[in-house]
Amino acid sequence: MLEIKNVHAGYGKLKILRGINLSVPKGKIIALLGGNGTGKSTLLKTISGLLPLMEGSIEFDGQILDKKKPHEIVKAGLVQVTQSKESYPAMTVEENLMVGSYVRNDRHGVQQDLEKIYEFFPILKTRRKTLSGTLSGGEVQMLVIGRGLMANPKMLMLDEPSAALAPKVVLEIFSNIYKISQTGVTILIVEQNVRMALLLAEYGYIIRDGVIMLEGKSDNLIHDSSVRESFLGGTVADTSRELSA
Amino acid sequence: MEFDFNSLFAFIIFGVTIGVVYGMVALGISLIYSGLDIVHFAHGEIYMFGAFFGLVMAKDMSIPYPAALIGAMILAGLMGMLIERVFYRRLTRSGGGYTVAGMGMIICGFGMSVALMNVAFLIWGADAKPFSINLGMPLQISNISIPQSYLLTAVVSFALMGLLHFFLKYTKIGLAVRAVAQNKDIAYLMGINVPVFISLIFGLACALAAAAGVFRANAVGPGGDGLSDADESLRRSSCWRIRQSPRSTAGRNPGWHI
Repeated sequence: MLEIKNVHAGYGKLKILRGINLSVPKGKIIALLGGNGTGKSTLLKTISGLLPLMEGSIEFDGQILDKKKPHEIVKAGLVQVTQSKESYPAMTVEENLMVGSYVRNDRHGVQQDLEKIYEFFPILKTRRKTLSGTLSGGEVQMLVIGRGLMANPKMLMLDEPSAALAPKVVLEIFSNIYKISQTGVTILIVEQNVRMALLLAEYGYIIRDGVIMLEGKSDNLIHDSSVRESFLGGTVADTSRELSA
Repeated sequence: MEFDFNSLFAFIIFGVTIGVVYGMVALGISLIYSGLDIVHFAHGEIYMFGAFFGLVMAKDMSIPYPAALIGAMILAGLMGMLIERVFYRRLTRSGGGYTVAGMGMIICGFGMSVALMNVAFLIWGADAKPFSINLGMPLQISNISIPQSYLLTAVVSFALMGLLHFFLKYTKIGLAVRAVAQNKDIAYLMGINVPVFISLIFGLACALAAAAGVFRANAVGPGGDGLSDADESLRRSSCWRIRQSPRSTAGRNPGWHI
């Protein structure tokens, strides 16, 4: 679905990404992992068109995205969900969701999707008329994911959905992400929480200093000794039991 | 001495009318401020240009007054969009607000203000031009007489503000305008074409200023005529108005608080 080949990008003259190759097959959950300042968010911004591509190519669903503007990329069906703090605090929950549906013209479908999202996240329904600035961190995260879904995307890119949230909330969010992928939406999840992301995703890429350092099936990555050393520490078993429960 | 309730009532009506006109200019300034994070220092000049557009159309081209008003709004709106596209776009691209680039924006605004003022001076001269329209006899309510132009000003201004409020609050495009005002990156990621919307915001704000300019020009003073000393009074009031304009920061609804 998404093919990224030899992507170089950065801010102004500063080059952050140096030759990224990544591919996301249709209907799967793929994880992009790495610590702070390794280029995760830069890659997402480049894919979304917020940053210009210096070199390489990005192909999505048969279309070349290299020179496209962000709003054209959204119309193509590729939607990025930014980090959790970024809702529109001065708008109500419902208005936030409606901003997400801006690219669509089918009023009926929008209304249906709104109901669907309220089913996914019942807490949003109870707070639909309140300003989103008053929501808790976890609720805001649900809201921004819901807002991304309102665009009826073929693929969703999630930027650190677990950032600054309590473990229990993270678990809830991740199980929702799994449910979303079951409805046929392809997902690229960018995470620092390596353990959780690998439990969710089928395939993982580990990025460091602007290059893909390691890639492989999630099971292999979890047991990879270098991954264990640099990211995990401790056992994976505990959380996996929790997640299945 | 007996208290003169009639005068009080008249003053309130005139005050509200003039206040509403200034409110429209302030609304424009705050729209731009919340939309682009810049204080538009040349807004007073757009207001003056709007008045002159209306004057030229109503007097020299003898277009009926309502059509001249709408024409002035459209012209000033287009002028604002052109100015934004040609001059401000380069600066806002590198960030506005309280950054170094925002400082550049302020200087650019002042420069634009001086430039526009002198363009107006070259075209129309510095003399005051009367802008009198004949709307019939003043309205008599008990002992007070209210000029028709005041009534028209108040009604149309409130209607315009109401329209803007409705537009921002209840339409899809209005929602997108608010989204752009609050966070441009996210608006972009939601598929909103941000540059087009910034043009729209500028156009709206300048059209409001033009409407205010036309109203102020023919309603100044209870006598109801005379754009007295166009440059001077408008220039002076432009600074005052900026201080008066509501501080709608990025986090607030960019409209409807005067």
